[in-house]
Amino acid sequence: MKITSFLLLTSMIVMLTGCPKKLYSTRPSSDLERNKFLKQVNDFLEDRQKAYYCAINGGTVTFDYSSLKYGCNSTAVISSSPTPSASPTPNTFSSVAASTSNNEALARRIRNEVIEKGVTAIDSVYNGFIDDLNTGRATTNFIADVIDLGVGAAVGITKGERPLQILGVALTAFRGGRKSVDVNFFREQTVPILVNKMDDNRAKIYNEIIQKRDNNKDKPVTDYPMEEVIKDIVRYFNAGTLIRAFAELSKDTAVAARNNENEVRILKGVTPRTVATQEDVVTSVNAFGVLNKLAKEASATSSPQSAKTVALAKLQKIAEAIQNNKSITDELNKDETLKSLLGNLKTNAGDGVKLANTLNDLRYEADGKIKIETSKAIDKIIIDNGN
Amino acid sequence: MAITKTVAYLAENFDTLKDLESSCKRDEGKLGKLIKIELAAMESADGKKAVAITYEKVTLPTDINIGRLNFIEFSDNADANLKSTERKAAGDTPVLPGDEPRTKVYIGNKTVNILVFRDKA
Repeated sequence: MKITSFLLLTSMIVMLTGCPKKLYSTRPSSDLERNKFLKQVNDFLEDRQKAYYCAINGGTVTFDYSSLKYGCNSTAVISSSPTPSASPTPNTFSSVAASTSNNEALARRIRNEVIEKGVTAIDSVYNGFIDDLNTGRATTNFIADVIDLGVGAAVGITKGERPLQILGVALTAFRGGRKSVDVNFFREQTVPILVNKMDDNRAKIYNEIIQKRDNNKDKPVTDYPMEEVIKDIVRYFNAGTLIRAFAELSKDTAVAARNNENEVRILKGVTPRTVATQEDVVTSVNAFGVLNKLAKEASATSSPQSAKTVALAKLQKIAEAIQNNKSITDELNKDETLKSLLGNLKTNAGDGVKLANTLNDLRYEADGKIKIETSKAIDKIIIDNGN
Repeated sequence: MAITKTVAYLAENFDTLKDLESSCKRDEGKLGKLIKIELAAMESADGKKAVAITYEKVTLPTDINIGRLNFIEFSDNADANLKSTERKAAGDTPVLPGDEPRTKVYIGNKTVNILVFRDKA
């Protein structure tokens, strides 16, 4: 069944992506030992994860110096002290239990070891990768699909192992993100920009890891459990890949573009306007039109005196009608500015242009301060008396 | 110095561009010449999307054709150029600064690209 699944997976990948190119062209070389970096990391993570669980579940943790691997006796209690056991096997020690706090300390030590060694190993391949990038050796065959193929196969073969499952999950998510990366985008970026972006990505993840580790010093080790550490280590590895650099750069560019196009003004202390009806539009625009027309007639040097007089008379009639409307004046008198403008209607009664502008000012200042009905009533007075 | 007032139009209150256009016509009648349109967020309404429009008070008499605004939606550059050319040929005046009176507004949950012209007087 496993073989069938593997063959099916491999053939699907080949059919979908074509022949794979060199893995090291788009990501840090997985070549700590002859291109077996992923396997080495996964073996290391698997071993430490088992030891971690052994410790937090009260088992005896042993360490084989020749293979540099932990072992676990699940029936015994443990200690964080690397005291040799009563009958140690060659090259092996077993930790002897003393208390729950010692179990906790041992689990914490194993977890922190994963962080330190994981980061160191990833840094090592990353540095080699950057050297290759800077000398132009790693940029010749940019085929993102090789990442999927390499990791997809690894997950398929060793299905069931927790660390590989995590790697598989992380890199599957990574694969989804890759779709948005245009191959041409790579050609437009210079190596220093890409390297800076990868450095930036890696620094962010590294800081997160260190903060989580240090912030949880005085808390139970399960507050930053091994599963999360492994997830973060995988993120740290992925952060140093070209694909992630492209994705982050694309994101940055998109956000910058949106900011430029859609700069949004924050409005404070402003009451939103209502939607106007057709009647609202006609009333408001016509009232303005009447005042403007009367102001023109009252000011025009070419107009006969009678036309100016008629215009002034109409404006005076409008002013009077407003002043004589108790419900309107009651509301206008509540506001000092409006009250003052109401008074100016009398002061400017002899000058057509001034009177038209005072009425216009009144409408301008009253907007938003008086009831909509009152505002409409003023406009109606202007239209009825001004035509 | 020009006296201006900026008012807000909450996007969710407007179903169509026509609704916004009508409301701006009404408000030009009271507040004066429309001079600026901006995308906005209402702090007093949990950051809801809005359109901020600034009006400049006018002194009477004026030759500005107040309240005769046209908001014209466009899809892309070519469409904007075409519609803009048609309007200019008809003698309409671009309302916003620049070669073409382009801007964006929120209508409902959409962002709409528009040209803003004023009818020939």
